[in-house]
Amino acid sequence: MQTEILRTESQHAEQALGESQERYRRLLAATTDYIYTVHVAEGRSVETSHGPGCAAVTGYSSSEFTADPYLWYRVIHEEDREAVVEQARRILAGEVPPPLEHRLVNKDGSVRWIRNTPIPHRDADGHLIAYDGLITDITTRKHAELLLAAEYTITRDLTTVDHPSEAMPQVIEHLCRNLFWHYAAYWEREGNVLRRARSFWRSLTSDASWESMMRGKTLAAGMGLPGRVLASGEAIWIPDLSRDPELAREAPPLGNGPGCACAFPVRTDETCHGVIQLHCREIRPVDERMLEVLAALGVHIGQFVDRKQAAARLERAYAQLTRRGQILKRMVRELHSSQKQLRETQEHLIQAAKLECVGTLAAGVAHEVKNPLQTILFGLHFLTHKFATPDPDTAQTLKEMHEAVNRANVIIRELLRLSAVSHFDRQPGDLNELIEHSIRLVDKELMAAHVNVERHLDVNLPRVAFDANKMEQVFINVLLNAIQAMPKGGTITLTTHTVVMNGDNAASGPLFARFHPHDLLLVSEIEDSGAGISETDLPRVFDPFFTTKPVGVGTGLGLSISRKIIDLHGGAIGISNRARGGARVTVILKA
Amino acid sequence: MNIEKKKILVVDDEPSITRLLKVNLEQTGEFIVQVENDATHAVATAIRFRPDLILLDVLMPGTDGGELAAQFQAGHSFARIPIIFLTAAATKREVNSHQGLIGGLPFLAKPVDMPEILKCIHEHLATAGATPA
Repeated sequence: MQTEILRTESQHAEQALGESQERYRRLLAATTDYIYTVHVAEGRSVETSHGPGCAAVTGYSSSEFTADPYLWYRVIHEEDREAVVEQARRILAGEVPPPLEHRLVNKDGSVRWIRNTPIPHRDADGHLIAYDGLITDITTRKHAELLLAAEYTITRDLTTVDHPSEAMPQVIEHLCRNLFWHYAAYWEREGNVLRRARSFWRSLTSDASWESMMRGKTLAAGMGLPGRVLASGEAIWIPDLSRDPELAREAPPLGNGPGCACAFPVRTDETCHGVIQLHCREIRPVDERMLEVLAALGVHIGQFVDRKQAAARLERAYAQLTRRGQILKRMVRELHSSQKQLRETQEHLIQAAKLECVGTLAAGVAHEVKNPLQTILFGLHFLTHKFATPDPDTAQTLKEMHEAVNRANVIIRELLRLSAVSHFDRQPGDLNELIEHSIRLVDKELMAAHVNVERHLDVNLPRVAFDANKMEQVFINVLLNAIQAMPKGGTITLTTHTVVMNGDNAASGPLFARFHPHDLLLVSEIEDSGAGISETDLPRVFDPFFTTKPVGVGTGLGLSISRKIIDLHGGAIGISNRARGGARVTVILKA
Repeated sequence: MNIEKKKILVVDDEPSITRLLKVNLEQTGEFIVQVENDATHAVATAIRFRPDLILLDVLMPGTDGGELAAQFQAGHSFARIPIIFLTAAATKREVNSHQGLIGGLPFLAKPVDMPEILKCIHEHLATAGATPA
């Protein structure tokens, strides 16, 4: 009875277990595509059985799996085998590893994504006696996921580079890695042909001889897979290249067989920039979703290229504009400077013309004026004798008349000298020596006016060609002006030094405008400590007959003649006021 | 004393100059002066007057002073008579820079003071007198 009861209980229990297992199987059948069971003895797998659903996912039947004990291993995608074996090892070691997503290669050659969830079974003592692998076909979801990831990665690639050519290596690499292609190439469009610009090999070493053959290879529209894409403007997917001998010949050597290829244009609505070509060594049925995504990516990259090219064009245009702006600015600056120079030259020319005119006039009238002066002079002599003992008024009158004749004669003489400056005799000489000589010639005037002379003469001054007589005339003129500017005494400071045009900061200002870069210049400065020259007089000091001296003291020709002499030497002379008072005359000669 | 007076011929187209020069020179009591305002008659006048010295303007209408000097020097009777140029065409500085000579002859730049003329006349009369005839 006891035994009966026990048996009945045992039968019940077995029945209950059977029912429970059946429920489990039914439940699993609803949520999984198939189950395989691995029986384990002493920590090793001893037998594997595949549930009936396996044919739909793998293409192989349960009996085929039973007949071939290694078939289960071979259907695993070779790149994922390591991970699957590791998962099995962990189960056998007593762990409960998380579900694993990996690929299977279907009997028809196509790749399927599955999720493998292991469920261990243990006896009452806790020993592993078997485990189930719950297989769910996740190909559709996985592809969607991978595409999303690829889209994201490639979009990021594009945002991190400055130029499309920098993005392309990354783009093709990420296409390979994210979408499990083995080989990718970018064909850049050049006019009517495609030129292979970039390639990437994933988890394979590139075939060197094939690569060197392909480097820079061009394809016309319609030729090869990229050429077909260029011709049609559409993405193309060839699931099995072995069915297309022409394309199979062009396919990269990936082992096993020609495999699958796809290509899509990098384009915008208007232009096709190139074609991206992808290969894998498995047969891959047309994945419409991926094809769609790749076509969209192609447009995305195309727009990026367009944008970058437009930006580059804009940048170039901007740079050019900036450059033109700078050139324009420089031109305006140069224009201003030449305008200024022109104005100065013009003023100078006017001065020279005035001088020339005066000179010509002087030569013409001198004779006519000198004869009357001679008459007056003889007349005065006669009258002086006539009035042997003249009254004071008569004596004074005769004296003043005599002085007037002399003054008129001095003016005539100066005018003639002005017209006579045109020819001169230049010999190399020492400018310092000439200046010293000029100072000696005005020694009497210096003493009378209590004027000191300070010298800062550069002893290394090079010898320079000049007409000593005429240059002396210049320095005497300037020295006499300086002395006359200091009626109560003072100091004349004489300085000589050399400057190099554009090499020295000192060689700037309008006086230096007529010299050329690298000219070596001898600069002499004659400074007085007088009252200086009024701003209104300053521009006129070189005008003929301009004088600030009392009537009879100056002819107003000294500086005119000096300038003419310096001009004939190819030099420059200028007058300015010193900041600390007094005037400064600068004489520049070219070495 | 009259016998010792030297005869000077003044050739210049300006009558006021020649008149006053004559007055001034004769006023010294040393000279007898003949003036000639027409250069073309100068040689004829000189032949008549037989001067000891000639004062000659350089720039005159019709005849150039230099040419005239050459004519005087070419004529046998005047070859040794000193000639002094009076010229408005040169400045004192130019005269000095040529040691007072034009074409080997002395010259004075107008306007010139009487003392200077007298000094020059004395110098050249002395030179001519010292030279054996």
